[in-house]
Amino acid sequence: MSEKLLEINNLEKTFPGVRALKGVKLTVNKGEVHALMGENGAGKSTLIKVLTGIYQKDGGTILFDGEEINARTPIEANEKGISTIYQELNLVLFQTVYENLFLGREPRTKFGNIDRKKMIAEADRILGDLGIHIDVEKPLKAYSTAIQQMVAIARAISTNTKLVIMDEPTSSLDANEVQILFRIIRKLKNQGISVIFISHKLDEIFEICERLTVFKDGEYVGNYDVKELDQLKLISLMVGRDAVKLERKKEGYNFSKAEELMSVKGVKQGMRLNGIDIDIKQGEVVGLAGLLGSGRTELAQVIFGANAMDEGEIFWHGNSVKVNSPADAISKGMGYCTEDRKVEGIIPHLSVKENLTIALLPKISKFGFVNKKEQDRIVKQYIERLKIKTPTPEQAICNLSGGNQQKVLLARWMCMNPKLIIMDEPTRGIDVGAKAEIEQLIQELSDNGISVLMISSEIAELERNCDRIVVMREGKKIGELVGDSISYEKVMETIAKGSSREVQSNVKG
Amino acid sequence: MKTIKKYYNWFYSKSTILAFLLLVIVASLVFSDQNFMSTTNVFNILLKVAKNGGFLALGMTFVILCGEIDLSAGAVFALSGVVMGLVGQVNPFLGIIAGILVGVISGYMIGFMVTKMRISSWIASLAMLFALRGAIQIVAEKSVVIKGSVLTFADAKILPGVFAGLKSGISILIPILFILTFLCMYISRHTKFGIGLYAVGGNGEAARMMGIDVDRIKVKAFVCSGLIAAFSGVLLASSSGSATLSAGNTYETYAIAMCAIGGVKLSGGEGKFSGTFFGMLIYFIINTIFTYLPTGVSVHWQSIIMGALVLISVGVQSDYFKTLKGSKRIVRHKR
Repeated sequence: MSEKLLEINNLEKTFPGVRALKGVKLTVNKGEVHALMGENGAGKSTLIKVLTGIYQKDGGTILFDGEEINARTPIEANEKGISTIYQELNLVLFQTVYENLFLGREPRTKFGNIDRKKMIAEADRILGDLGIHIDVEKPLKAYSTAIQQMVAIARAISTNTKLVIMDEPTSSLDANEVQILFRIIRKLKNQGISVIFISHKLDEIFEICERLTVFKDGEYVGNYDVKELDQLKLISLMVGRDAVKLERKKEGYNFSKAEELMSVKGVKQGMRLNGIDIDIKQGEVVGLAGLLGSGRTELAQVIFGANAMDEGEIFWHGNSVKVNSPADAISKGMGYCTEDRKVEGIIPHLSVKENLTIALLPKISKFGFVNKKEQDRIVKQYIERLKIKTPTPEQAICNLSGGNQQKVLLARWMCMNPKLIIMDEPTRGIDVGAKAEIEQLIQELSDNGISVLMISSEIAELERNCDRIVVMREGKKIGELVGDSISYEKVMETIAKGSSREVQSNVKG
Repeated sequence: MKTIKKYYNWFYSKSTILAFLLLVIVASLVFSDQNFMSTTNVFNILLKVAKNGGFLALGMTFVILCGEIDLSAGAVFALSGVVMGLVGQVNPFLGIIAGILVGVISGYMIGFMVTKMRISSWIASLAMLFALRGAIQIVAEKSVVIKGSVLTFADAKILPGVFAGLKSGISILIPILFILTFLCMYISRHTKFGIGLYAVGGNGEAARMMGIDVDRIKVKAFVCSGLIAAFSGVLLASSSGSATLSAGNTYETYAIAMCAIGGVKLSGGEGKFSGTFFGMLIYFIINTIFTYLPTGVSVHWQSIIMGALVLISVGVQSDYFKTLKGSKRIVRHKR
């Protein structure tokens, strides 16, 4: 049973400017379900991509089934017996189930034609083995995401697969579908096939996996038996501590009498938000804590009108309001620094000046013509105030460093005189110096009566900057920490305690 | 190394203008005995630009900048002239307005289909192209004669006797071409709409998160394209004295080519109107060169050369060449 299938040692991978994997190791036994754990940027995906031949390693060894391998393409990895199920399924939705199963390796008849009869019979058999009984002649899109995923898995194991890698397979499945998936994983296990399982949902890890390996910032943290860990221990391994412990800047909590600026009640959205309440007072810095996939960003996007909610209500200054679009939110006085600067933040080929003032343009334009003097004045003011390092305001923003880009984005909202700024991971990918400056700015905003809703995966960062921390898990608020009661350990405890399984058992008890 | 990269970047950013200069120099040397760069010929080339759908490239630039495409421009060009001629028989002023309205309405309709019905602009504007070409045949059976001092306003000439060889002056189409180009350049740099165009094309999701009404910008871009196409159709009909039914056939493809030569990226968000302007000039200089070549050289070579030129100008922007240049532009891998 404990025969090793995969043994990775000292694996190195460097991208320009980033050392993504710093000599990591991973051992997976035959017939084992093994979890890879770690927050964003821990190196899980990079490791998987090296293993499956999407990236080439820069150093280290990969032993698979007793043989050193170095796959150059995913197809090569596949031939060796490694199959991957990605989050986004690589299937053709308009083709039938059986065509998808055999895509690229269709059985032929004597005359070289595709043998459809054989394909259908085989597809029935393969899926039947997994306990799935569907009409394989229907197009794949006729079935639910879960079934589509099963087809992807069936496709993966219908070759001589020894290891199946599942990258967040449950992210779009509901509870019942997850159980179907787990049943199949157990079946694979019984057939002696190993599974590498990546998920941000801890309950799932504890339910299905036997062992797990934790990574943090591209480094190997440890290899554990799931039985010897509890959730709190696991979270602390994943999140870790900042090397430098910065002092908490806030003292006490003096917002008990402050006026409420905004609140949301009972917000539901798809499977991401399950009825959440939250409120922010004027000048308060409220942090949203929780692991990846807990619904923090989704909540922020609903508040900002970037995504519609299914249910729930938003109050602004105590009045029920509708926020149907970001433009709506901005006109009320909100700003949103998005999590992914590149995707939702900067407009790469526009200048610093234009990026900085783009949300402000309606206010400084007459009949559509921009007041250039006013624009230049504001840009100059914020470049000085935020110490944005750029040769000229005309410089294209894509040439600036991450920290300076982030400052431009902050300035973009600050110059609007907002009442609330939502900051999603404001210091991700930013060097320490710029980080301190941005944290300083957050305090300045708060001192000036501007509220901040801050999302961060670094609990220490929330601990330093927030007056109040709302802890989320699986789209629900599971706890709240106020003022001096905020501490790193308390936040972690709350996240761990909010396990939905425990919640269920509480209900029963 | 850094300086080399700097020079390369400068060279790269000015490549359209440099190509233009190179072309002018080569052409004037090769055809020196035929006075390629004579005043007459320069104005001839500019007039060609104005009369043969150069304007369409300006309108197209609006649409391409916000990441869309407008295939209906050539059809709008033709229909607007015809409508002007027909309505102009009743009232000349009304005729001009009606001609221009053709473009505004069709542009708005494409914008509506793209933003509200979420139809790809390729399909929406292609449908419009067919519909308008059909409409032309319905409203007019044959070419419409344009007469009357109002309707033939674009036939006017200015600055008589100022330039040698142009005793009667230069066509007002040429100053209109320059004014419109400058107007477009101004709009793109100095108005909310212009900056919005780059934002929407460069990063639509970010633009939305900044409160920009993405749909409105797109509709406006299509209206601009239609408006300019119609305006230039009116100008051509007015200056030539007749509106032909097949005018502007396949001009939309030339307009796209001129944008591409001018460095306007088809993926949106990158490019300048000045680039489009030089793209137009390059296109028509090459076009003119072919009239200078000895008889016997097939004009079809022109098409092939244009095709190659478009490929080259878009090709040098591709990542394939960027990595060849060693300028290490590697997409940051998501971990």
